[in-house]
Amino acid sequence: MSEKMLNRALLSLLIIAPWLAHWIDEPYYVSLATRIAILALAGVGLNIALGLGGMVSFGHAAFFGIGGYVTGILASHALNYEPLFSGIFAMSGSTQMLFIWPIAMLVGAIAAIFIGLLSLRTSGVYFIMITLAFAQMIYYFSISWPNYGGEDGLPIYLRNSFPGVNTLQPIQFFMICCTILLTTLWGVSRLQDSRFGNALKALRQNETRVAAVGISPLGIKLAAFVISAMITALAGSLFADLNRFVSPTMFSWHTSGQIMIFVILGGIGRLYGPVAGAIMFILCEALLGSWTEYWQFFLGLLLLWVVLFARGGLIGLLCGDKAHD
Amino acid sequence: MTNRVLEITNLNKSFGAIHATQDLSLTLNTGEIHALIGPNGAGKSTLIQQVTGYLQPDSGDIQFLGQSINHLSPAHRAKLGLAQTFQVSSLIMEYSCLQNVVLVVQARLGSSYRFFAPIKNDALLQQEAMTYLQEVELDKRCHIAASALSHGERRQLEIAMALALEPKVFLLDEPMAGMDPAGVKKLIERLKKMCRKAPILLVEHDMPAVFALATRITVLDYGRVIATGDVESIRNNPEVQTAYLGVAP
Repeated sequence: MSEKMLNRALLSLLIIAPWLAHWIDEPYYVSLATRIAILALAGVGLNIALGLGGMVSFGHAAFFGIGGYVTGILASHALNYEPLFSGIFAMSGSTQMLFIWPIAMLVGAIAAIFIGLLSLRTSGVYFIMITLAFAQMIYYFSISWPNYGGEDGLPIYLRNSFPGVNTLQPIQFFMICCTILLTTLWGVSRLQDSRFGNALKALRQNETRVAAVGISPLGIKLAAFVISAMITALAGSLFADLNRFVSPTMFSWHTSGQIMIFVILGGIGRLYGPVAGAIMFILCEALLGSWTEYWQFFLGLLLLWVVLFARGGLIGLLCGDKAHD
Repeated sequence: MTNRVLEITNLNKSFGAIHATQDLSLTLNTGEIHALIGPNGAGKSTLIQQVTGYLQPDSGDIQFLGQSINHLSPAHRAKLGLAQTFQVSSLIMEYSCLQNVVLVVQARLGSSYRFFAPIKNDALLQQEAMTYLQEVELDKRCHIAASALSHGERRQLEIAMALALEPKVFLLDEPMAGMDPAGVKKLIERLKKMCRKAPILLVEHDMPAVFALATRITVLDYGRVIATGDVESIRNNPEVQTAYLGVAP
């Protein structure tokens, strides 16, 4: 099977299934598909750092959570009519997704610049540990910061709004998430074939060589890390709106691990890898989870099998090795 | 002074008790091939790595085109025009020959921060890269992944990548290593052509090749220069003969 065909099949499945669920009036499955789309988006973000750039970030929960908390905090201020901060100029909260998303991505980018500058000087195990450490720092901070719910999290009483769309209706909110996922996939497909993508993929393979031809590795890696974080932050923002709730769990290392599992299950460095991975993960959770509460045991077996026998993940298994040109 | 491209003065580098570079001075002028020879462990690679920026000297200065480059990163030095080939071929293994050279061309153009336009549709970029592959006669193999190339072809690709940088200096670290006699012969001709573009600092063990190519030769032993001069004076230098050429004193 060609990779293109498989990608189309995955997308069709993701788009058609929730519409079917919608027609037979099963909103649960619509929100399940929405979760898949959002988590796949987070994975697409991580895949830029991990798959294209070879940066094994174990701290992407930081950006996922930042996206979530930006959304929760802006919404709660808007609903309480208190300005976010006041001084020389005041900023009020907002319930407009079109306003919240850029802010979420911006804050995610700022955090990524800071974390990236400190962690990208290391590589291998040290990079994994430093990114994990940053995410855990933010996690413990979010637990101990009482203003926005602390350990209890922060509810969003009304899903934020999007012009012309009733976001409270599951299928409409799904379409928003799905559109963002598709747009991002298209953008990343351009990115990975661009000059930037060319340099980034080369860096993963041979950093010394890339430096020797005059491309500074740190700059390219940092840019990729920031783009990666911004996409994951956007996913975090949508995730907060989906659950209408943000909690410190979004920052925990379980979340980082989960996003990484999507990428690995689907196929590291494959454009649609995270989509395939998120579908598999969520379906496992939903199907096996209704049968046994130890479903993660079987997920573990699946992951073990992928790592040992199907390095290219699901997409690699079905489509074979990546073509070169 | 105008034709002095690279000037190394009083360079020192130690690893613990080992003095790998001792008070070393060296120049490279336009149009010349300056060969660096010496037995294993003489400090040739250490010197090259200090020039390319992967090692920091303890003291001394490296001037490139009249500018001190001691504090610059390897990438920055390459951008200024220092092209190197590696002793052990260092390529982007999953990339085709063409993609390897395209990477160099885009690096020289300083356009690695374009996020959107696919390079596949960039005919100019591809064509330009192709000319360098033609120069080393790899154009027929342009879509083969670097990992699938033979040893000799990898060495050729290294040269093409150095050429694609349009550099001011070539630093070639044992380009002949592991090549068959026919390949060496071809490479000698190629290097003769290359030195018209930019001077070459050549580290090499193949003595006939060195004697055929070099304008000047510097002999290193224990991290210091024991002799420097033209081919004849080195060939007849008794100190060099004992240290390196294996002639009993």
